[in-house]
Amino acid sequence: MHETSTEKLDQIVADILELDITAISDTLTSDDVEHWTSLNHLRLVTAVEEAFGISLSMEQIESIKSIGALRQLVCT
Amino acid sequence: MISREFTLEDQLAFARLSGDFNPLHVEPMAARRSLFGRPVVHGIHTLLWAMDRWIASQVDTVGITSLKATFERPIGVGEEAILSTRHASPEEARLDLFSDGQRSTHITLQLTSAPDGVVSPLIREDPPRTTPREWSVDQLDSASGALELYLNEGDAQHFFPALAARLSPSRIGVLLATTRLIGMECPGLYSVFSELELVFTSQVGTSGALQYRVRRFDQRFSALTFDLRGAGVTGVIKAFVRPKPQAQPTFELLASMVGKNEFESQRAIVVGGSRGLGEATAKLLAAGGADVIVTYHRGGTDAERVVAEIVAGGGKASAIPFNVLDPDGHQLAEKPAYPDRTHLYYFATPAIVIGAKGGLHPPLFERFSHYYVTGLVNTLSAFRLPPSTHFAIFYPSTVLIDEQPAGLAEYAAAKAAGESLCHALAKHDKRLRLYTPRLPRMATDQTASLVPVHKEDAGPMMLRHIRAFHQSCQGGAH
Repeated sequence: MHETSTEKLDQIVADILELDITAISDTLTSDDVEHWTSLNHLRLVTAVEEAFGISLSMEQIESIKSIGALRQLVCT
Repeated sequence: MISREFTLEDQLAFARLSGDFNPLHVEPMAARRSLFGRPVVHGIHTLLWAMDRWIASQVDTVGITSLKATFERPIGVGEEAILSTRHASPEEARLDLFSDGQRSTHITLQLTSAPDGVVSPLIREDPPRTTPREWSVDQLDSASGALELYLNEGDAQHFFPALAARLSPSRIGVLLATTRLIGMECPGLYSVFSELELVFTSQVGTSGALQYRVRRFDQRFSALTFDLRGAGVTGVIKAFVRPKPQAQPTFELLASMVGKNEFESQRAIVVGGSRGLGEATAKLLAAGGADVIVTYHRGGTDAERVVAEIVAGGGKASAIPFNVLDPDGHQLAEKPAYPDRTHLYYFATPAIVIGAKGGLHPPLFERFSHYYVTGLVNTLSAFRLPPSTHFAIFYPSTVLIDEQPAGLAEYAAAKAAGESLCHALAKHDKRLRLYTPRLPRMATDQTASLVPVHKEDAGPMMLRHIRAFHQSCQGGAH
């Protein structure tokens, strides 16, 4: 079965933030996730940019405070 | 669970072994002005120690085929590092280092039982001591080069005995070369090593040297990705160009914002005035005609620079050493009392270290509280303040008490305790006037970060608050 962009994104999030993929939801915020540090935020952004062939602006990068915000930027 | 502290002597020995003498790791005064605020342990030093201790605990012979290390937050020299290890599977080990209650280094090792017979050319001595390079941004895109491998095997066996017994000298030489690459070669002086991935191969290349090439330089975050090959490895390093020390506005510039006699009635003590907000405050006050005593703990050279700049610009200032953590103010024992002082500006602070998310790490809270609460009491006692019928204290608090961002609970709670102390002092001593503004982030060494964050200019922001403080004192308001 073909992987959807949300599934692809969730796998990146799970790898970098060390989350169980089933625990990833729109409402999860950077404050909730132990390993969502500023360094891992940058790792997440660069991994997502490489995987999806996109480039996010600084405003967009700063706006990613939750999984929902990230999904909205990348998957819509 | 195994723990240790890395001392400055340990750091210097590792610098000799690796050739990475970056001041971030071995020069406390220079490291004080870095974004970490203190000397920190080389990431590769923590990696080698963790690998050594883990291998020492293994009964069977262990070979390593690849490794990945992420240096998530630094471990300060003299701070406790705690190692936690586990086998995720027979082929994989995970090693985590913690400090201040948080993970600092995360290591994954892929394992094999097969012996590793690869030998790269190795110079069997310490690398020559060099000066860390500086690069212009436009050079970094295309940086490349090669590093020869060095290993003083006697020292390697002394510092990492189990690792040296199981991993070939050239493998250790490669790991040491990676820290020399980042700390001394590229990006060199202003660097932070954040991630290493290495696959051990049997390909040593024609020269046997470790070759590197910048694959990507992301200017948004000053982030570098390197490809490595040769010397029996392929791999990737991620690193950052870290911010340089934050200079404060010049006395001349600040004097252009201030009325010449605006603060002439103030005879101020600025505690922690050698840099940052204390420096900007001392210059603004002196530019407005105040007579300023700047105190410093470790930053004597910086404090003398601030005073020299003020005096050269026609202002009145002097500098004295003072440690707010010394309850008796022994440094001041030979000094006269300060009965003429009218205002205290209290900027003493430790390095503002990010704490754990959720909850509060007591040792970190205590470290902040020593400065923000006990240190203020010590200061008043040591200078015998308040000396007169009117005395005023400017206590810089923080908007983070209201914002409560993750990881800064210890800092915000200690600042709030300092605010509370000020109000308690004022309640029981009617001679005291207080100003405890909750200040926003301003551009200082303490707010330097790898991720760009909006910060206010210290000059105009501090002037606004000094004026509000001055007026409240003139008006007699508490």
